[in-house]
Order: sequence, then structure tokens, then C-alpha cells
Amino acid sequence: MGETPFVFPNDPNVTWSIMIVLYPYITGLVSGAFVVAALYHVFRQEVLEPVARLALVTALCFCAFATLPLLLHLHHPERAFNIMFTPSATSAMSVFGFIYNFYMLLLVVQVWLVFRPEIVERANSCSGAVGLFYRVLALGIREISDGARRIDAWVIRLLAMIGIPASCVLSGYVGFLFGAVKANPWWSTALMPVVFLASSLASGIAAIIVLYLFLCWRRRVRPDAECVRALSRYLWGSLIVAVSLEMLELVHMAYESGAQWHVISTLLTEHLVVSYGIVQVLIGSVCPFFLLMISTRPQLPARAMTWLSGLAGVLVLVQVLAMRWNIVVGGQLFSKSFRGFVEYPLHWGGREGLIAAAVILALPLLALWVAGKVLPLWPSKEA
Amino acid sequence: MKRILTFLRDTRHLLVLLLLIAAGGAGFMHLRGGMIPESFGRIGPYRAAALDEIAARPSVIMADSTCLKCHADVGEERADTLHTAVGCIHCHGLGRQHVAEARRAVDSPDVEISPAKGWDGNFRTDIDLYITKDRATCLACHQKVVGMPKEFKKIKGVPREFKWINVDEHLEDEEAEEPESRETCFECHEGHNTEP
Repeated sequence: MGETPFVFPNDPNVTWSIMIVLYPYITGLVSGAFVVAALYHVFRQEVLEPVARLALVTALCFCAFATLPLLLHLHHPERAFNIMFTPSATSAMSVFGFIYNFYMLLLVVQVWLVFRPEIVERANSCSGAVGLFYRVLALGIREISDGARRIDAWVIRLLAMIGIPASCVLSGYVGFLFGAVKANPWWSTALMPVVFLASSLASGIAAIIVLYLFLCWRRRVRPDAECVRALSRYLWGSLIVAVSLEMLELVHMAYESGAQWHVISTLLTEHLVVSYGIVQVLIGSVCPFFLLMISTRPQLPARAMTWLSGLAGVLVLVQVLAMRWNIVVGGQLFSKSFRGFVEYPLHWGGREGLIAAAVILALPLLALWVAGKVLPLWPSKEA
Repeated sequence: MKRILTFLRDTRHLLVLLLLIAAGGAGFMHLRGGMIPESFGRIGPYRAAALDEIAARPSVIMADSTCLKCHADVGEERADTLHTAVGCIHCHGLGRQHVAEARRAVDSPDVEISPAKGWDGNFRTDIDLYITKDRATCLACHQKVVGMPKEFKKIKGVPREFKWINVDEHLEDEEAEEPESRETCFECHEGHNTEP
């Protein structure tokens, strides 16, 4: 008698697993990290120079693995290429294939151009297999004139300018995919792409702060305080916008009190209490808001400021992951007939388990470590 | 002329890069040509031959007409009632094995047709054919939920409670003899005939 039956065509299972949570999360990190690099290349924010290269390579490393969770989720991953071979102009998922590939190509070209002077220099100075590797990477061109440098700088700036709207489209599009599911009231809102975009920026900036501080600690180098302070300011602003939009959406839904509100309010107060109320709002939004408010104060000592910024960065990363979880999994926890809830049993093992998710999150970091060995991530004066 | 040569020298890495991108694009288009199924796009953005392949598959859902070939009395019993719209499989299961045996029995009268079992209370049961006189079955359609049509006969419940415990008021009004029984609905109602 206690079982909630689903006789109508309904949703007894959560089909979009943690892999679909990771996909917008990683995509968001890509967009946010790219914007940090673009702030330096396009808007001449010289204060961000210490992290400009790191941000660009981080965006590339995460972008390279952005589709991996989707492929793991598919039972026939080989069919993923069908959206490229036989695209449908009316399918948002199909359009994604082109947006993603365009963005990936743009990132690869930009990273190549940014690091070309060092690649050419190593192609000339290294011998053996390492030299061959850099000569291939240099596409066989082993000299770089001042004119070529000027042209490269111009192309890098142009690519960064194109990359800003492209990265907005990439992360906004993920929100669009959810916002366009009209059968699901927790997703179906025009604000969804904007919410995803704003939180993407926050997560990307937070990731760059955390990575920069961690790598400085590993290299036993003092982090550039002004750079961290500037990043904290950007993070604070983007966090305020992201959380305001998230709350605005919720308040709007509550005030409207449509037919779906009873199930959404039950969802939030009974099924997502921890992941939404405590993790996303309290730990992930309120705490970093105050931490960043303090850390951006100019009179705060550099050491305290970096600690607070790093902690806030970690919390924002948790917030955005929780937000993705609450949207993706939360939206599938209630029946579309609004008459019951299902559970999502999260397992450790399996293709869509917690361990697989942890590996997916670790792979871009591994790629970043490899990239750090191959390319100089730090400005020459700092290295 | 010298400026053009200098420009070409300064941009040759970009030209090589563009050539590589163009070669990649051409390779993709070549691969694409070989990957598109023959009947794709003939009548829409899908493989037209898939329609015939799907149609050729055996049916797994029994239509009411299949059941009523033998159980004509049930068809007459519910003919003028609202339950005509409810498929046999909704309350009795898919009955694949039962129908297969019945079909075999037409030619070989010795074939034994498995009788219906009792429902195990699981809406995703594996029982092939069952009889259910459980109020959970009735409430699967008749418990009031948001969006139900006005004229639909429904039992009032508290919207936040999604369990089968909200029929007390109705059972009290109708003076049910055994309100706690799973078969309590059938004290007053028939399954096939919706009267009263």
C-alpha cells in the first residue's frame, strides 16, 4: 500500500544520471576559464597576466573531456557521431555538436598561437624525440619573425573576441537544453540558459583561482596578490549575478504558485534539503559571498586574502556542482503527473557511478598536468 | 612585392594551419558520405527503411480486441460504461503467454491455458495475467491529482500525500463494511461495469 504506483506513462527512473550533471559542470568550467583568458587578451586586463595562459590551457583541457560523460551515459556511444553525420536543424542536441567542435577548434588554434614562440624555440633547441615532437607541434615552421608575432597577437585577440560569444553560447546552450523541456516545470523556464551562463562564469573563475593558488603552492611561488584580488572581484560579481538569477527564478515560481508549485515545493523541502538548501544556498552561495566580500577589501593582508579567495573558490565550485545536480537530478525526482517522487540510487561502481564521475573530473586535471610539462604555463618573468 | 613576400613569410604558419583544418573538414565530409544510411532523409530526418523494420516486429501489447475474441461477455458488460476506455492490460497484465496458449488451443484443444493469478501488488509485476480487486488499482486512476478533468470520478485526497491512504472520507460517507480491506472498493463497485 505504501508504494507509489505509476500506471500512466511516467518516469519511474532517473534516466539522466550523474554523468549529465558533470556535462554542464565541465562545460561551464570551460566557458568561465576562457572568459578569464579573454579578459586579458581582449580587454587588456594586465593584472590577470599571471593566470592568462593557465586559464586558456585549463579551458582546453576541460573542453577536451566535456563530452566524455555524455559518451559514458550513452549505451551506444558510437551513435553520438550521428548528430554530426546526419544533423537535424531543429534539434538543439544536434546543433551542440557543431557549437562544441567550433569552440574546440577555436581553443586549439588560440592555444597553439599563444604558445607558438615557446614551441618554435624548443623545436630549435631540443633534439631527439622531444625535438621532433616540438617540430611537429610547430607544423614544421622553425622561425618566428617580429612581423609573425604581431600577426599572431592580432589573430589571438580576434579569436578571443569570437570566443567570448562562442563560450556564452556553449554554456547558455546547455541551459537551453533543459529550459526547452516544457514537460518539466523545474526546468522549463526562459531564465535557464542565463542561469547556466552566469554560474558557468562563476565556476570557471573559481576554478582558475583554486588551480592558480594550488599550483603556486606546488611550485613554492608566492601568488600574485593583485591578480588573485582581481579574480576574487570577478568571482564575487559573477556569483552575485548567478545566485540572484537562481533565486529570482525560484521566487517567481513560488509567487506564481502554478499547478506545479506543490510538487516543486515538496521537492525542495523534502527531497533536496541537503543538496539545495544546505549545500547550494548556505555553503555554496551565502558563505562565499561573505568570504569574497571580505577578501576583496584592499586593506586585507595578501596572505589572508589568498586564503579567503581560495576557500571561496572551492565553495563556489561546490555550489555550481550542487546547482547542476539539483537541476538535472532534482528535475527527474518527481513524476510528471505531479503525484509522486522517485529515488536516485547513486552507486560507487559502474559506468555511471561515483568512481567514474571522479575519474572524469580528474582527467582534465591530468591533462593540465601533462600540458604543464609540454607548454610553459607561466609568464617568462615568473618562470 | 617585397611587402607581399614578407607578409606571406609571416603568415605561412597560419596558411599551414588553415590547410590542416581544411584537410580535416574534407576528411570529415568524406567519412560522412560513407556513414549516411541509404534511405536517410527520403521522407524526413530519419532512415525511411526503419519504418518497415519496426512494423515487421511482433506486437508485444495485446489489443482489447484480442482478449474480447474469447471474453465477449466482458466486452458486453462494459460496452456502455466509461471503462470501455480502459484497456484490458491495464488491470490484468500483458497476458502474452495466456494469449499464445489460447491461440495454440484453437488448433489443439489439448493445450492447457494458464489461468489468471492473483495480483502481487506490484505495478511492474512479471505475472503474465492476473485478476486484481485491489483498491490500489482503482486509485491508480481515481485518486484526485492536479489537472484531472472535472467530470472524472475521483476520490479526494490531500495533494501533498501521494499515498493510498486518502480514501477514508469517501469510505466513511459510503459506510464501507471493511474500509481497511484491499478489496473495499468492490463492496459497491464492479470492475468492468462502472455502475453505480
